[in-house]
Amino acid sequence: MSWIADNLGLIAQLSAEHIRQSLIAVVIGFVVSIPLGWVAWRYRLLRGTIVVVTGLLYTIPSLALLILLPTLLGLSAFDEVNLIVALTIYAVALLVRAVVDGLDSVDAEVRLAASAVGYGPARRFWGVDLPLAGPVVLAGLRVATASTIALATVGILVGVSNLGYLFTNGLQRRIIPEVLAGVVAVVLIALVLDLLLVLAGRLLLPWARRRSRTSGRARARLA
Amino acid sequence: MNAFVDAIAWILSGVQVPGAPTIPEAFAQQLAYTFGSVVVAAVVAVPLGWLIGHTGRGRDVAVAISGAARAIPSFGLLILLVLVMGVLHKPEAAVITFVVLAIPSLLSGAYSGLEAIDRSTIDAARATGMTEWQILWRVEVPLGLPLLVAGFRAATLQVVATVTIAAYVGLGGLGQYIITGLPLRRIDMVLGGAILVAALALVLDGLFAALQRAVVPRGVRLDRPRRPNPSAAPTENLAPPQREKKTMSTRMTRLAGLGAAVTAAALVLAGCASSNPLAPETGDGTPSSDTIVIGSQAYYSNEIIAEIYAQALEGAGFTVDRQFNIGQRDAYLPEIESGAITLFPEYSGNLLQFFEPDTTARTPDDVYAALQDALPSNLTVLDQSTASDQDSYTVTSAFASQYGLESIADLSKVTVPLVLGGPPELAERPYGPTGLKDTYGVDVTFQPTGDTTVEDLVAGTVNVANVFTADPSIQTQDLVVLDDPEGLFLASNVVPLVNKDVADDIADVINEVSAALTPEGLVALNVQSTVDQKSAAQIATQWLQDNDLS
Repeated sequence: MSWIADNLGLIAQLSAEHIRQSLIAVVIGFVVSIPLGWVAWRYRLLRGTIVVVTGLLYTIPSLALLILLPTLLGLSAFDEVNLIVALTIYAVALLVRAVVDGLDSVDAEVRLAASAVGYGPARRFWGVDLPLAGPVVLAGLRVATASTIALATVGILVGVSNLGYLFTNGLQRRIIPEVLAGVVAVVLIALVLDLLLVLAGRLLLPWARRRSRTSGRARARLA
Repeated sequence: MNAFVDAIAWILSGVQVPGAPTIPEAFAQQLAYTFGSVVVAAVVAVPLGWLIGHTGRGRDVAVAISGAARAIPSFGLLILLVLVMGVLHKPEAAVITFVVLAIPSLLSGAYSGLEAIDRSTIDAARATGMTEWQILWRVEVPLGLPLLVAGFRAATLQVVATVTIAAYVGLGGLGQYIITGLPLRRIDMVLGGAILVAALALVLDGLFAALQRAVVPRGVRLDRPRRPNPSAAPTENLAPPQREKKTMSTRMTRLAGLGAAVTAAALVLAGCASSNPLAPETGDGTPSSDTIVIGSQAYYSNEIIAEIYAQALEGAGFTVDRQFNIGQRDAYLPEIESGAITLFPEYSGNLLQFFEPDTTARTPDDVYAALQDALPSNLTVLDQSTASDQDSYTVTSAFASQYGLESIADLSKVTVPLVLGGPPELAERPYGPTGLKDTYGVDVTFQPTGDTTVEDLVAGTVNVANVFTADPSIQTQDLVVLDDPEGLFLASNVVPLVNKDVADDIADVINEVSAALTPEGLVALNVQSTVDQKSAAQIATQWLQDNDLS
């Protein structure tokens, strides 16, 4: 375990790169998914196509996508943009469905009530639909964040440096604590970010807690 | 478009590598790992999920464990388990990795299926006098089945795409074509492998979609509105894929064909696009005139040499930009040719063979001379070092003495079947199984062993191994490097590959380093990295001091 103590600087530096790459991908993925999810939810005809196609993106093996992307994007083979684009694609695959489901979960009567008191379509979306969809979207965001952070490690196989470096380098040098440090660091980063997302959810979506407490079993019993 | 056509042609041609599994065999491996792992995961997760769903207890714990399990990087866990359990247990390590991957989806599929059931249904069952077991088996399990199948579907899709990485530790499956194709610059192979995995995933997804509809109990199906009410799904659930799948299941079958076409189109696009006007070549990292950009391979020994170059140049007053660990030759050479990287520690023979696969040069001096001629006009090499790190065929000393082996030619005396281990791309290298047969008349079966080749040799899963001659384990594991009288391998000395713009500026500093780097010295550097576990920076600083170069 002395390897870990001797290389805390390296672990910290790789963690910082890892967090930066993952967060950029999740944020872009989130920003892209909201309009895409809305279009899929609003227009019946496009819904199946968008949901299925983004879902199918998930079946492309990540390593293959990483190898093929430089050709597609015309970037240098070890540019980290390749990794970020690949991670964004997988994040979108998860998040579009979460947005569609979130909008689905909004009670139709609430929507009608909003229209009745004079909300226009745009104001209703931002003021009513999206906040009420928040809890489901947040659940999707949590899954997407955790899986993006785990997936980013594959980047090292195409020359993008992050915590995945500890896996391949540790394997070559047969240093088990190095590989273990990488796995633990990835899980810790994911858990900390998950906690932050939960806290952000409590602050920004206070109604979610009330609803979740009365949802499921309790709500069914009330009904 | 060409790449896509090439990929299809590659798939149709089948794989013609001695000993390597055929595409159907790789398919079978991929399926075996997928289903084996999902079944083991189901044995663990489904009863647990039902227990949680039935009793309503332990849900928070399950959600927390699922969340943590999702965050575990499969790639790192696989490597960790292979190192801890040993190379003889690679398949078990892979199955454990994929089981961990599959558990969250299965667990939440099982409990959310039970949770989504209307309470009054269960109360009614209890009122009619059903025991708890009867409620579970006759009411909850059947009603929860669609969401459970959705959990199986999500888990299977995740696992089937991730089994690809098993090839990184030499376990085969469809990922071997992706892993092998990367160092060989075989886009047809990479794309072909990706198409096969995606096609397999699509077929499995379609089957599960059909199954998901089939398991809806008949009574429920008649009763249910055409579109299930999504608000009935537990909204606080951490696992949206299960719920999402439910709403998309009916569309899935109808749109599977369309989806397949779009995926194919995306892959076609990936195959034919060569540039994107929105992402112009920015000349990433174009060096300012006085900065030396040093690259290194994703190989710990190469990184040490690059770090020595870097510290020596910094000591001489140069500004250095380190671009280490940037993969393999096919990936980084374009960067050197473009001038984005100006200095790179290389290996003369392997570099020459990259530019001239059919070269006949074999000795260090011949290779060096041929390399100067073969390099692109804006690149050159400085003095080569006596240190070499070249491919070799290596056996254990016990095996060597048992059959009296000294040279590769002696392998024909061996009476047991020969199994050759090495990196996956060895299968297609000029000195691989084909070269071994042509040059020495030795027949081998090839087994890709990746980064654990030495362990595989010692454990006996292979009896001949492709090991780099500067690998410290040749000494520590008592291995014998077989002589190569017919020159199957090229001499491959450490040589600095440089851009001509900076060659004259840095030649004095780097040539001093190359002169001081001996074969024994290179092995000693590697020992400090693997045995003493020092960082490249520490090793380089020490080496420069010891050689009066700092």
